[in-house]
Amino acid sequence: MLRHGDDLIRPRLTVVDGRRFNVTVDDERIDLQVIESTPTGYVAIYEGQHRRFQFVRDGDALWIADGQATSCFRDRTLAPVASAAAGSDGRLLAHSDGRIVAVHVEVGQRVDRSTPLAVLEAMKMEFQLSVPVAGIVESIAVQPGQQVKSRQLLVQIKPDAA
Amino acid sequence: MSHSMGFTKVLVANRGEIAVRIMRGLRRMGYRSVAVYSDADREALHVRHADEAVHIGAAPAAESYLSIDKLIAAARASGADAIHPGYGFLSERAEFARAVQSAGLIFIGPDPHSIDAMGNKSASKRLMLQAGVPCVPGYQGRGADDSPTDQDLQREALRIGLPVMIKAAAGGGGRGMRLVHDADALPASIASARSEAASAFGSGELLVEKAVVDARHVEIQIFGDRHGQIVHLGERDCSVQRRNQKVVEEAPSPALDEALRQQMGEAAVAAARAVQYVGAGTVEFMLGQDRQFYFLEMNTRLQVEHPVTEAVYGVDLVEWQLRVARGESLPMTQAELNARRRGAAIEVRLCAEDPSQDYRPQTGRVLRWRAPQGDGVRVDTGLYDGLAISPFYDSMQAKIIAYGDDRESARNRLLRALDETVLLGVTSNLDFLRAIVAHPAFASGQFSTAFLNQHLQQRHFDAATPLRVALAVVALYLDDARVLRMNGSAGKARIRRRRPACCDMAMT
Repeated sequence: MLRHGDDLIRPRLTVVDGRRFNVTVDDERIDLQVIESTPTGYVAIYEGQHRRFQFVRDGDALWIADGQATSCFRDRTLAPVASAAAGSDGRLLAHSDGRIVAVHVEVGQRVDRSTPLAVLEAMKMEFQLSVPVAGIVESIAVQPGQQVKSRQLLVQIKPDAA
Repeated sequence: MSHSMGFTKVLVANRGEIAVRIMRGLRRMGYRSVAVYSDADREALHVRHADEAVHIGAAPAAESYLSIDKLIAAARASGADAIHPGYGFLSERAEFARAVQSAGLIFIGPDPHSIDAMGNKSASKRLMLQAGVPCVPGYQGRGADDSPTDQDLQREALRIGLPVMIKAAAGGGGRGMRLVHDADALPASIASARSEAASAFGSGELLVEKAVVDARHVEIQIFGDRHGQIVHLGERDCSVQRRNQKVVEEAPSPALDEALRQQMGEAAVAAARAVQYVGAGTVEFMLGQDRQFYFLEMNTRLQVEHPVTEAVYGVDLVEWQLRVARGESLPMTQAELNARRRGAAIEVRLCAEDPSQDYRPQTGRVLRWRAPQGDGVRVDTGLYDGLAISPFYDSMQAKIIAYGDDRESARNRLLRALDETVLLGVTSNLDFLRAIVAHPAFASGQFSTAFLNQHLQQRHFDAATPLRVALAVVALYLDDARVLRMNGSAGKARIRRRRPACCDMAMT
């Protein structure tokens, strides 16, 4: 099982004689013949063309460049079941490392979907942050001026019961 | 060359690709270089490139690259007798140039009074109007003590007629800038521009200008020396912008002919002359569909996109800066420069940002960086394998420049170079850049600053197509097989735990 962004993908791989690979993704079958492989990449024949791909692994992440796009897949084979879509659980997380410029809400305040909750400055730009749910501000974990790490909890919203 | 202007060792008060590029120029001209670095940049490429390096403070720029006292102290400690400011940071702060000169050091840039005169967009606009340089209709207050209030800006915006641009008077790089189409959006845009300007530039002063629709951004490189000569090195077209920040730059502009080039060149030289300009500077214009051009601002420093000018004129602008700083005359006359101009060059800015998420900056460790190679391709960068990209500074990581006999050969060369470029470990705009350069509208040369909004709404290039998933799965398999070969049974045990089976496996 692979994760790409928020999508989970369940490909199926068949290996023939260690060089020919059939991968089935969503009922579509891709045939690749690997003719050269190094620790940093491989050359494969796809639809009659020789193509070179570079990849690198870092923990569960696989980065791969195919000359058209650079993709990052997460190998979720052994990972726990994925959590809800970003922010829909009411947790506002920092999208990158940066500095909190402003917090727009107070504990106990009612907020709508996409109400600006805080402003994060990263690389000299300001980003308005919100979550895609309505509810009550339960807790605020940061103060203006504070440096935060990527995915650090900033604000917790108690979502309205569905 | 007057003796008092001699210097031997230059401190580069900057970081990243521009610090590396300046050091290359210093080395070529036989000067020693001193790097400065913050806590976040201990391992940065510019530190490795310099002859010496001085630590100047904590990661936030205000405590390091923006600290005048620390930079002067670093120059003293290292025995540097000149300072090159690069671009950004303190490069356009007159108080920095003044402090450098007061410390008895050479400032490799214009004199403080020129920076002051051009540093404030409102004040410079008043000056340019006096010098007869065409300016965009707008309102910037009557003088330094009369900066427009929110009410003034709203009133004037409606008088000038929407759409308008709200701009930070102290601004640059697109920050503190808002395009406003609706009267209802004016108050919020003014407030957010003011707040962004205050935090980015330490001044919330704003001005308002008529937005010139479907305009191109065309700027003229100028150069002055201490003997009163000022020349121009033609134009750069920087019309491909996102959030008012340049993404692709080229020389010459597809929109200029020789007559218009000469007209704009002369206006730029007049602008520079009005402030007794010395050194490298750029006069930015908006060029309308009707071939009318308007002064936007003057950047009193070396520009990010200076390599495209270097390519078409075959000159080294850092070398010119050093020659002018030591008191020499400009190496070439206007006529010599005009006769030298040849071919076309295009530059793209590779940034650690995610175009599919509103260009959000990305941080992380570079796992693999492969710069493109080959004739006519230049790469200016601070990247290397293992570099940690921190959140503290600009997201631009590299500039890739291609040169050719004409625009189309430069463009094809750039496309091939981008196909060859690899940046893994940190999400970047590489695929976005490729899509821009490959786009038929870009190839045609017929576009304005609205290019990205008109032609590239789709900014998601790494969709998990079945082919890409297959490539990833095969990469995982090959990598597992390699680990297994290397580690024997231990690797096998590890992989067994990860995968149900080696062959005919279901990765669920």
